[in-house]
Amino acid sequence: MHEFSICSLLIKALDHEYDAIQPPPTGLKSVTVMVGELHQIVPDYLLGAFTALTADTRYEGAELKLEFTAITGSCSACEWQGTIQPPLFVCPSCDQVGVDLITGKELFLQSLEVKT
Amino acid sequence: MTTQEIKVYRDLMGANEEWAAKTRDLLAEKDIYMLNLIGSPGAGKTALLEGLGAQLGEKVRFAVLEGDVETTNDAVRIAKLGVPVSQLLSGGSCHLEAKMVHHALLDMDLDALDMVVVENVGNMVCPAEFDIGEHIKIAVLSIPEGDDKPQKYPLLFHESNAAILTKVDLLPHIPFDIEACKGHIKKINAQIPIFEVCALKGDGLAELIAWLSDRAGA
Repeated sequence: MHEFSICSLLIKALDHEYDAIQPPPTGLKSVTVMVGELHQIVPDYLLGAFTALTADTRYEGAELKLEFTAITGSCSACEWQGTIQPPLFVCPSCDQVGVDLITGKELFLQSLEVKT
Repeated sequence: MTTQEIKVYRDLMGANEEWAAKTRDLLAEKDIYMLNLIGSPGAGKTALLEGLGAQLGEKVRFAVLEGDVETTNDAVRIAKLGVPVSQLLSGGSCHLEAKMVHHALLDMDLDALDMVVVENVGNMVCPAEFDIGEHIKIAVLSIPEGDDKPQKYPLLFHESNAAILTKVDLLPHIPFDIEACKGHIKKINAQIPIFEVCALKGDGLAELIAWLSDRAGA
């Protein structure tokens, strides 16, 4: 259930960005978060946490949109590059252990859509 | 009503990372080495600390931060060893966060310590995500949990700098292929040492104590 903690961090980040918008918006329509698949986030849990944590706040009713990024990496031994399937840290081309991750660990507040 | 889209790209872990960075600065100033022990509930993390207690204490001056969802049971166990201990209650959360750990450290007599061992909340997923400012993470896996756990929770073993297999005295009684398990760990993280211990009987603890003392610069 790290989704609830991650959602709390999202709302803190959202507060920071929302308060900086000039002129102040009249409401929040949607928020988009980029999530790397390595975080093993269950979308329904995160959406449920967002609904619960924004109830009775200025963000109530806003939509949370999730954009997942695949786990990709490159191999220093054979120069392979691509999407990594389990086993996650083994090069599918040459079997070397220790593929360097390129994407998959993202956890970003990407954009807001505000009502003006 | 009109709407406006605003691009931001703000890292959600940013607030946690700021506290973790403060902790790293504090530990550097006080010359303290901090470990983050991560494993499932019942993996034997507290029993491991009880086993390490007296012998590790002869080499390094260490304190324990006990993370749990509820109760002070584990802190009571550690206090019996004469080791300084604080209990952190996560109140339902499945992991410790950096801010909580930082404030707990500020309440300790840091000038009297060489090492702090944080026993994270029992869980193999969430604690691997949250940096608490530690120098290294250590994965703790017990024999009854099964030899395929590294494959099921690869992020933990990828982020860890050592793995400890506990309750090895149960190997004759449980279908657990220890070589296969070590192979799974090596396929995720080829470099890390893997220790095999039985904390109750003391088996394997000397090697672990030597490694930990070395890492702490004792």
